[in-house]
Parts: sequence; structure tokens; C-alpha cells
Amino acid sequence: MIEFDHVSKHYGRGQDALRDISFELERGGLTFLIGHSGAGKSTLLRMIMPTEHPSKGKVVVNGHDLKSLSGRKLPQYRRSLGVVFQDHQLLADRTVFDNVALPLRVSGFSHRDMGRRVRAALDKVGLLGKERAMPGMLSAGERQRVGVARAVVNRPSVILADEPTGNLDPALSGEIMDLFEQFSQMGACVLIASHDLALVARYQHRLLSLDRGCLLSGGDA
Amino acid sequence: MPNSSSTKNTVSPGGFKHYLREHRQTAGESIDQLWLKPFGSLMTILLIGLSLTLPLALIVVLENGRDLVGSWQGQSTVSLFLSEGLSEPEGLALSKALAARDDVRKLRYLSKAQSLQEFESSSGIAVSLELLGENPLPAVIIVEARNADPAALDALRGELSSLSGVAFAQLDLQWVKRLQAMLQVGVQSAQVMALVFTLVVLFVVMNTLKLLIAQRRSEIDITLLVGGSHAYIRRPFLYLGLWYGLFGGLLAVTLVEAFLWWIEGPIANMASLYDSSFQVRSMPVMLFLQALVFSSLLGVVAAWIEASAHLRRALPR
Repeated sequence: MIEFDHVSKHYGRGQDALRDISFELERGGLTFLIGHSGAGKSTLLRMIMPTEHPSKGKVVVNGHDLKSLSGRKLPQYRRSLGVVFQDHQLLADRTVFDNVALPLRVSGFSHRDMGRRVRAALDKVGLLGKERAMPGMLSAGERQRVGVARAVVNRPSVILADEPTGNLDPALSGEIMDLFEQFSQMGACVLIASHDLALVARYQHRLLSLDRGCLLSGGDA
Repeated sequence: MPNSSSTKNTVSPGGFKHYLREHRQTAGESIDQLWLKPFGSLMTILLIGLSLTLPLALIVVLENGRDLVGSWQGQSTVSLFLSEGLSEPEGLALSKALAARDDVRKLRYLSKAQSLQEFESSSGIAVSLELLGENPLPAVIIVEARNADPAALDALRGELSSLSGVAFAQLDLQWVKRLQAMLQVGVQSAQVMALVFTLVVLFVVMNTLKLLIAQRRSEIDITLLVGGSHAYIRRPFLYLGLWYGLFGGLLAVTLVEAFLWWIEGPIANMASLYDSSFQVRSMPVMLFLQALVFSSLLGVVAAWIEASAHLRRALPR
């Protein structure tokens, strides 16, 4: 489902963000991507989104070599992803409903289907009834759960989460992780970047460990 | 939960109905956007309107100038002074032959006696035939040409002057040539002005949208990340450009109409001093529509350029 094949990423002035990374992730699994700040976790996730491309090697997701995805196919590809950000990236001037409905709206869903799916996603994250609230009226945990609802509303085959519990207390972090577990059990391939080793240790899932751009463990090659 | 492992099946096809609904919704939202910042929107519309007013007013004035030339077409005449020896029946026969020509709208025959009478009435000087001995004025045929074009008139004059019985053919083309030259200068000035102000409108809309796009940068990035296409992201900005252009165009045609109404009286007054019934014509419906379509298109094009430029710099494709 997700395949990294000898992927490296160089920035200017000899700075290497990723060095010869190879691994494969299958559908229906939850994988943690761990490492300190600057280890290359976010760069790796950005290559799946893809908002960056490798300097060497290739990234294949759902059978698509991401470097060769044409401009027209890229939006279609991105609709098969669900992305959760550390700072949730909600639109402050839109209601919770509108924020969650955004991936459905760009995909061309009817209003009826949109309403049904948004309510289902909000129900899943425990925010049913908050459709009309503005993000500013919610707590940090609720905002993050809205971000999760937006990521899963389109029923993506791949869910990427970049430090999704970075701003949450342990109890809320556990709730969010439980949600990700449920999504992986429903068949999604979930990849979570985190530097919270204590949290990761509570779950028995595959680990990809990065250090200064190198994959220390969890890879296939 | 996942839709599919392929990107192909992740989209629920909304079809054409959905597409139209999206456009309707986006059009409405972009109108709301204008109201969110009424002062800024008004300033942009004012700038566009004022920029379009000048070339549009010039075009309308030129249209009226053409009408003026048309109304003076009756004065596009060739005067044929007949030979001394030509009798009155021969002069009338020549008139009849000329009247049958396709390039002659109408003509008037003035016998020697009528020529003298007309001279007396127009100059106010009584001519004493007893003193002069005989009428010195020739018979004249005043030919009004069908084609008022100076070149055609000149050609007609040359042809008629060579006719038997015609001593001399006279045509005063100077005023026609001058007026047409002035109109030509006006047309070219309007073209240059239209080009300059077109660029001004493009710049105004692009600059307004540049600020708006900068404010909504994070929204654009998120929309791209959740699978929004460039067309989807561009759409609200195109509608905004359309509204700016349309309202700016409406303001311009309103100002031009007000200007025409304002000068209508003085122009009619002036025309009456020249024995003309000329009246200022308001903007033709076709020009009105063309102005609105043009200004709206300008807004859309400017929005397209600015939004596309931003999308090229946004997340990699």
C-alpha cells in the first residue's frame, strides 16, 4: 500500500533530511514513526502527501508512483488520504460541519450524503451535536478530534497523522490513539509520526524509527 | 472503512447537477465576500468603474461624431456650373440624366434666374440687371452624392466635370476631411486609452485578489491537501473577479449615461445655432452590453492570472 524504495531527500548546503529509506506498509495496519525533532518524520509524511518529492528513490502509494502523478490525478490521489496535523489546521471562520465536510465538498458529494457522512464522522469522534460550533469555541482536544473527523470523513485508504497528540493531555491522547486503532482495524493503513515514546509504548504496533534521516529499525530493506 | 485502495474510486461522482450547484453556491459566497469588506470592495469597484468610464465615454462621443457626419451628409454636394451656351431645356435634360445615376441621391437644378434670386436672398444684395446688362450667374445643378466619403466625392466631381455642358464642378471637401481626420484621431486615442485602462483594471483586480489570496493562504493549502483541484480553488476568486468587473462596468456605463444627459441640452443648443437638428444619442444597447461583458471578462481574466500564479507557488503538483 505504501512503499518507500531507497528514498533520500537532500536540501541545499549538504543537508540530508532522509537517507536511503526503504519500507513497505500494508493496509489494515497501524505504524508509528518515531524519532526526535528533526529526525525526518515530517519530511517522510510530506512525501506521501506529496508536498515534497524525493531527491533519489521512489514513493509508491496504492500503486501510484507519486513523482509521476500528473496535475489532474493528484487531487484524486489526495482524496484517498486522510491527514491529521499537530495544530489541527481547521478553518477558523467555518463551522465544525463545514470543516469536516471540506474533503467531501471538493470530492463532489451531494448535500444529503455530505450531511450523513459528516454526522457519522463526528459521532465517531464524540462530537455529534457540535456541527454548528466554530473552532474557536472548542477545547484543544475537541479541535483535534474535529481534525480527525475531517481526515476520516472521506473514508480514506491511508491516514497520516503528524504529532496528532502533541498538544493534548495523556487522557485525550489516549482517546485519539484509540480512534486511530479503530480506523486501522476497519482496513485503513495508518501512519502516525510521534516523538511521545511513552504513548507509543502503550500500543503494540509496528515502529519505524528515524534518526537524522536514517531508518534505524522497522524497515524492510 | 476505507473507500478503496485505488484513487479512482474515492470520489463520489456528483455529476453535472452537482457542478452547477457548486457554481451557484460559490457565486453566492463570493457576493457575500464583497459585503464582508464593503469599503474595500467599493473602492475596487470605483477604481474599475472610473478607469472604464473615460474610454467608454470617448467611444460614445465618437459614435455621436459619426452621427453628426451622417447628419451633414446632405451637404456632401457637388455644384455643377453649366456652360454659358447651354439652354434651359438642355440644362434640365442634363439634370434628368444625372438624377438617374445610382451614385446620386438627389439633385436640384437652378436656372440662371433662380441662381440670381438665390444669391440675392442669401447675400441680401439686390443686383441691378439694368446696370450689369445681363445676368452674370450661370445655371447650376447641385448634386447630392449618395456616398459621403471624401475620396468618392472627389471621384464623382472629376467625372461630372468632364460632362458636356458642364463648365466647372466644385466640391468643398476640406471640412469633411478635417472632421474625418479628427474622428480618426479620436478612434486611435480611444484604442490607446482602452488598452491603458484595460491594464489598469487588470492591475486593480489582481492586486485586490493578491491580498485576499494571501489572507486565505492556509485555507488554500488545506483545500489542496484534502484533494481540492486547482479549478475548485480558483473558482471563488474567478467569481469575485467577475463581480468586481461587472459592478465596475455598471458604474462606468451609468457615469457615461449621466455625462451624456448632462451635455445633451448644451449640445442641442449649439447645434441649433448651426441650423442643425442634431441630438446627442445615448449609449446603444449593444455597446452597453459589450461594455458589461468586457468589464466582467477583464475581472475574470485578472482573477485567473492572480489565482493561477498563487497556485503555481503553492503546494507542489
